[in-house]
Amino acid sequence: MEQSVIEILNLTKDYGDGRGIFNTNLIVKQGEVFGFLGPNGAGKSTTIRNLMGFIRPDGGSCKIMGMDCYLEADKIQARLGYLAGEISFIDGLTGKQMLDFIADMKGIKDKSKMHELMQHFELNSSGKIKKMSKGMKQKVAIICAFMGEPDVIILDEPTSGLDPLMQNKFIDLILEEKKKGKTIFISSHIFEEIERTCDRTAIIRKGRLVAIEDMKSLNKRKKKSYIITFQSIEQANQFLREGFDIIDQKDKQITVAIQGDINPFIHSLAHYEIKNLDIKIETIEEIFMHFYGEENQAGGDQHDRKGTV
Amino acid sequence: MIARALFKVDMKKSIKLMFIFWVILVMYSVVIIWMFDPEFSEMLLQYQQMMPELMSAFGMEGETNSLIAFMNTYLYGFLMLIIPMIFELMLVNQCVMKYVDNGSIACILATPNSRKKIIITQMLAILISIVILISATAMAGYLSAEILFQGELDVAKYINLNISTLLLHFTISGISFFSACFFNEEKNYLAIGAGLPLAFYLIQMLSGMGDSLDKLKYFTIYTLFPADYIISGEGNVLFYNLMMLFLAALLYSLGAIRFIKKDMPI
Repeated sequence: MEQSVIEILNLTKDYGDGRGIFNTNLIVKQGEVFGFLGPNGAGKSTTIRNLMGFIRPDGGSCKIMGMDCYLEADKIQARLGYLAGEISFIDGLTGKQMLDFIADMKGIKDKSKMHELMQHFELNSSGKIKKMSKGMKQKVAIICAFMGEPDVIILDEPTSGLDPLMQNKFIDLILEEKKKGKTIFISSHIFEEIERTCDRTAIIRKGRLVAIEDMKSLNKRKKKSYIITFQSIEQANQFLREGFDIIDQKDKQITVAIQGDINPFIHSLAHYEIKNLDIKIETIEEIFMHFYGEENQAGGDQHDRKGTV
Repeated sequence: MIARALFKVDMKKSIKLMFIFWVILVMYSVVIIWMFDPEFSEMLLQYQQMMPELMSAFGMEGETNSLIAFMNTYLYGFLMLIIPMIFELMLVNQCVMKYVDNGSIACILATPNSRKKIIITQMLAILISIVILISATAMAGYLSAEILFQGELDVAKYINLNISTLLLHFTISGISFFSACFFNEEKNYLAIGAGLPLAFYLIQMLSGMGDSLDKLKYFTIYTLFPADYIISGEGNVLFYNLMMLFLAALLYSLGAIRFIKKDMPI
């Protein structure tokens, strides 16, 4: 049985007006990369603030490595790396001075990891942080989070401000740390990043968890849709009666969703004159997008996905 | 016990600020000591007679026949209160308030240092900076007095006066410190951390202006500053010193507790 590293139990932090998080339960296991998705203001940062011990819960508790996140924050921090959603550094320092300051504060003597990361992200740290671009600051913050070889890493929107090349380098870094068995918690808006790195992903809406998805099984369950263009409208209409899951019809063009065995569909198509056939695979973005919209209050209920809370 | 890296950063910033304020204070000290010259003192006395309310509002009233009394009247009544107060406001702002206001406290708290350790570090940096500023100014004052009027300064009283001044500034900075720990935004910090010491000073000015306003002295911390007792050699100076020390300790402790317990706005 894998050990749980992050345990959130009935966590509540009410900021009024429905903002905050309410009765949230979440467990992240040793060595897991855990994604945390949700619209703006859903409570992602509030959850992370609780994990970091920046704020105290109104109810419930959260623990990292068995230690209380507020009461034993300093002990947790000895083995944790954190990247803030809104990065702010100490005034008047250069990038290098800031990195050295954080290394000193963390009691890091061996700075080889820090230098390795500076090379990995091609960071020139000699300038004043104040004058740095958003992406440069983000790099400094990423290095701060990873330089102590932490066992647990908490990242709040880690790639905001990075260019696509650096985003890729960041994903490489996550995958490398994952191989080493680190437990990583990522809050993000970027589906691709989540898809490429995470084992499981939680979706939070209005302060409540609406689903926890296993990314591997989710990939298997991705819907494929087939866009068929028939020779004539009569044929198209006839096909509608075959009993497949029709998503859309535009004149002679029909979009069908097929899950599981594809053969009945192929056999059935053999009876028709077909002009064109396209295959569209559902992206992770489409799967998760309905959690973002205002109208789907119930979240995952309309689809047959079950959270594995 | 303290976070050394943070202490180093604090002191590095503080020293720059401290130097500027030290230069200003030394400049004023030298000028005022220099004015102890009989000709100038005569003129200042005339001012006291011509517009007693105005002069007393600025604490510039009373005995001026010895150098120490003269310095107490013209230097420690106003300049030595207000100028270090501004220094303390800026110091507390950069050591505590700024980190919380701009969110950089997050990167400090994301290290294996408890909030307790961090706030004690900041407290220490603030108090040490105040001690250095006041004692370096006192030292410069002593040297100028010795150079300009050799042997005239009552050194024992001068040292006592500066000890009480230091304790008063612990109290004033205590108000700022508490305010910086209590609030999450700089504007609120300034309203209380600067507003309260200044309001106390205004009350002090008013209380010195007339008999009917005399009772106001119970509503200002500057009443605890026993400068006149030190000069006259009467009154229980130790009692006032202990009161100021107690108040400072209370304000700093309450501030630290609040800092440890509060929800950080990050």
